[in-house]
Amino acid sequence: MSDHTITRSRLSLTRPLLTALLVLAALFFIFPFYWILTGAFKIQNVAVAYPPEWFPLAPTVQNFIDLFKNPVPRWTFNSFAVAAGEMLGVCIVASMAGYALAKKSFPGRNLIFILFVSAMALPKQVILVPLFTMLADFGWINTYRGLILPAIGWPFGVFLMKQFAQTIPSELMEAAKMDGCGELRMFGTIMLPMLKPAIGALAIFTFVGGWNDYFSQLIMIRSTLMMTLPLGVATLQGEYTTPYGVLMAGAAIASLPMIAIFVLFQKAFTQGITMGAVK
Amino acid sequence: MSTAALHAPRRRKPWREWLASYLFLLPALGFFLLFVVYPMGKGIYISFFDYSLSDFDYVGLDNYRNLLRDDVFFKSMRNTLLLVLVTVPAVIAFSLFVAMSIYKMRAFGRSFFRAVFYLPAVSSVVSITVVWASIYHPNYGLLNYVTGLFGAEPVAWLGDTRTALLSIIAVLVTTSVGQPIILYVASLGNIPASYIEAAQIDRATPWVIFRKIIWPMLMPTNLYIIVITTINTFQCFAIIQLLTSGGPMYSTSTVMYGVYEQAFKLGHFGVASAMGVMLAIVIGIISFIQFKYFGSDVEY
Amino acid sequence: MAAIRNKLGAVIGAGLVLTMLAGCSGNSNSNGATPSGSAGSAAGASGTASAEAKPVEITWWNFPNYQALDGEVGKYEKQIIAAFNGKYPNIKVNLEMITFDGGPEKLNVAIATNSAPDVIYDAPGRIVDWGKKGLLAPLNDMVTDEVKSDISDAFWKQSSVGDQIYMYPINTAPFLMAVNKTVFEKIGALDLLPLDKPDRTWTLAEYEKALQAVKEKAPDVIPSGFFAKSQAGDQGTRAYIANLGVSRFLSEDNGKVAINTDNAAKALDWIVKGSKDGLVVSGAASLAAADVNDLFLQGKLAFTLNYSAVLKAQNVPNKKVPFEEVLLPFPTLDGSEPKLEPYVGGMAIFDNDSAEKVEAAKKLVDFVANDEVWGKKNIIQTGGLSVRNSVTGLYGDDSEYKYSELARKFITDPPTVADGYADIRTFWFPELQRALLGASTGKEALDAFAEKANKAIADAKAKAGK
Repeated sequence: MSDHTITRSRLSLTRPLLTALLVLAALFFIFPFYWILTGAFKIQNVAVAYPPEWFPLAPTVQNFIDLFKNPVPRWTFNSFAVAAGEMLGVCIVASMAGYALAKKSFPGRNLIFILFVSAMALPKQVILVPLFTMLADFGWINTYRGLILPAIGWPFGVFLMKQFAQTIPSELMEAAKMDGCGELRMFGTIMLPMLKPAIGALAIFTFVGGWNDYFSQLIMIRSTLMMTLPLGVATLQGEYTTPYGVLMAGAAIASLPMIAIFVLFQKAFTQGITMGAVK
Repeated sequence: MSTAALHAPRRRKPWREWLASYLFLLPALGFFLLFVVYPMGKGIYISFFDYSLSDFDYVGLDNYRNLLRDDVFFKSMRNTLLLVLVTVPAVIAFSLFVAMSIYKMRAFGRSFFRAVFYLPAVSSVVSITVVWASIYHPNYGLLNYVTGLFGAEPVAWLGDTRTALLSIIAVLVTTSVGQPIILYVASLGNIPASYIEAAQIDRATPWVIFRKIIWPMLMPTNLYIIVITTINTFQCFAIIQLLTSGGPMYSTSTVMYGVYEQAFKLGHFGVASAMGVMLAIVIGIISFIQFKYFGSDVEY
Repeated sequence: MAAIRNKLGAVIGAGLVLTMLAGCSGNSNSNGATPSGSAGSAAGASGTASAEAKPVEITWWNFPNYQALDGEVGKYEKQIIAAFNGKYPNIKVNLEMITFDGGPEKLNVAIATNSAPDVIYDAPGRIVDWGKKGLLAPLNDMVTDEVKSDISDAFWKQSSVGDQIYMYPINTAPFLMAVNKTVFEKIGALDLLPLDKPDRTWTLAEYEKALQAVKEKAPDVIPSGFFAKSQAGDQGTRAYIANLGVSRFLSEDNGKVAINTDNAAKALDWIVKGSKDGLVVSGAASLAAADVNDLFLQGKLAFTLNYSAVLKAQNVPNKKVPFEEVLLPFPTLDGSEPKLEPYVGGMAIFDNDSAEKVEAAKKLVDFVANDEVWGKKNIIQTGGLSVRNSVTGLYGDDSEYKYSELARKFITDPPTVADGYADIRTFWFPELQRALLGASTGKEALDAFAEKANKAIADAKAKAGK
């Protein structure tokens, strides 16, 4: 990598103007988070002060105290439970299916894959009404089951794992097969380790997606105690007033876990993303 | 696609291999059929009914007929397509710009910028929208404050048909560029340096290098990014619901938002399902075009 | 050998999925058992009606009708239930708090999927609609003659479909405007407010004068509010235009739209012009009712449109700048008496095919509304007035409550009982947006609204007649 950098830097996109633009754009992206974090510590009329107060001059934790009058720990737990449940389910189911679709030949393979891929383009909301009525028939509304299991049916994971699995050389498996290695062992001892980075990426994708799946949660969750963190934060908006400070405090708490996860796993994350899509 | 799979050894009886494959597929397929395919079918079924609260009456194609006569639906469809047509190129242009600027940086700089531009995509969309609502506020919004410093008149960003959709798109773009940037950085890194060096020796301008060498090599990545961004854009819901509720004058109403409004706000599940079916058809057509047009050399 | 392994793979694969399923369901069961409101009980409530034995379980969904006790949503409701159980230990009440934000959606889907609650504390807008669709149990048998005559007919009209009573009315308050009196004190213009009249009525001309004074002498305060982002709080814009333009929103029989008069159009044009002249908040098309009240609570807005004694009480903790707010009726073009839409809150019972549940629910409704100790207490907790004529003076000498009681004489029947009301509302704010953005005149906007809303009313009537 590093020996390329010297020559590449001559590719004259490094003019100061462009760098300035880049930095400006970055500031633009960071700003909302700065505003959330500082807003969380401002008292209400400062949070909406005009001209704006760029930094909380009289920081307060009152917003957090008010926020925690709601069952925030429970909301956080719910968010984690739902996101982790989806993550686990998707990873198991998708890696098995991806492996079969990429590395095995059987009748209907292409048909099944096309079915998966074409469903991927569909916005979830399109099926939400019938899905909802179905889950209501099961009695799954307002349960973890109702939130987690439908997400496992979503075909993106299968698509991703198939793309990854394809890049793994088949020779390895053929060799194993000749040694009389059975299907399950082949999957467990050869495929899974090779798929690890892919599973890691899919895990994070699914976790983040589950955490942020506002629409499904809005519809599927009934009771205050079952709410997820983003949903709970959204409901803090009143019909007649907006408690900005408390909303910001909630927004900060709802965002931080995701940011932490991303920063901690950035390497696995980027590796995973790129390995599948870039061939 | 790996061709090795097609030449897999056929020494054993194929049905064993088939059985194993189906068993590996079974869980995914089961979930998929139960939670995606079946509701899809049921959605189509419901769309032929007047299904609201306690009623469930067969009405044939009435829901569709009414939609085709409904200005608001057409406006929503137009907005939906506009959203895709503007957002997707904007995301590509912006991510490519960022990726080109950072892919040759040192590891630290690269990760730093990648992380910064990924932030909005990973953090809760509700959080992001809360901030943007206050930035766009017509009376004490930050944006008006900043433009005011330059002497501009305050604008009701979300309250004006000329700016509302663009304001939504701006937020949507910030939440959509994270993954494309990562992908582009990786793709650019995979372009053999010798290609570019050779062109530089031939005194090719940066633009020509980009057009003739870099861009063609990015095509597979482009397709992938177009597909995921299009899907992501069609699914844009929370931003619209929390920022404009589809207004003003339906200028930010999308089909997605319409489905939500009809089904869950008004309880017209039949109409909502018909809207969903029509949206699915449109998406199908668009995906088909995308694959045909960009995907000719990429096989899935 | 390979075949066995294949099968083994399948079994383990399936096992993985099963354990996962079990894990998930186990998880939800253990959590569902928490005291307040669980999925199981909500869903089960509608399905099984087999419990012949005494104990009955009912589900009560409540909007935040009561001010949260110690800032904890649902705490007050739990106290009511505890007191109720003191009297009726055999009736288990599962409480679920819903929000104004997502609650209506949840009710819609719950009803469509046969998982409605047993009891709901809501307003006529939705309740009457459910009543028309035959989803509710009539409450006529629990209304005593004494109560019947103690509540004015306007309230009964709003709570009923034909002669069937579907909502047991409990608390009320006329929707009014409010002014930041402190601003007027500061600019020495108190005389511009109609506060010397006991009924505080005034004309558009007087109102405009007051707005001008704010604009000139207090440039950092926006004179008046308006909003059209969404349907939330639309009774404010509805009543504002109807009063300014001395017009009814719907005809007397709620059969068609009546707001598209020349006077009302003039009023809307006046608002649009005011937003350009700095008399009305700018960007109203993207402001929600909550945004406007926020401006008011921050002391940045002199007049707000959506206020009541209830909101005044609820807003005490949200007020971050000290100022005194005073309730006012809407001004009218010709100085005629204002017509105020009341907020009415009451309870309704869903007919979930279980006579026992309906009976138990009626006991709860009766307790909430009429218990000797809790009846009054509950009303005070809503911050509203009692619908009962005989119950007054709940709040001692508070001048704004006294005024609210006086303003009850201006109460008119709101359009909430009209057929197709839910659809009518969805056409209102987009037309306001059109006028505000200059895409149409006030008259064009109101006519367009009338056309769409009339069609919705006709459709709803046709459907009801089927």
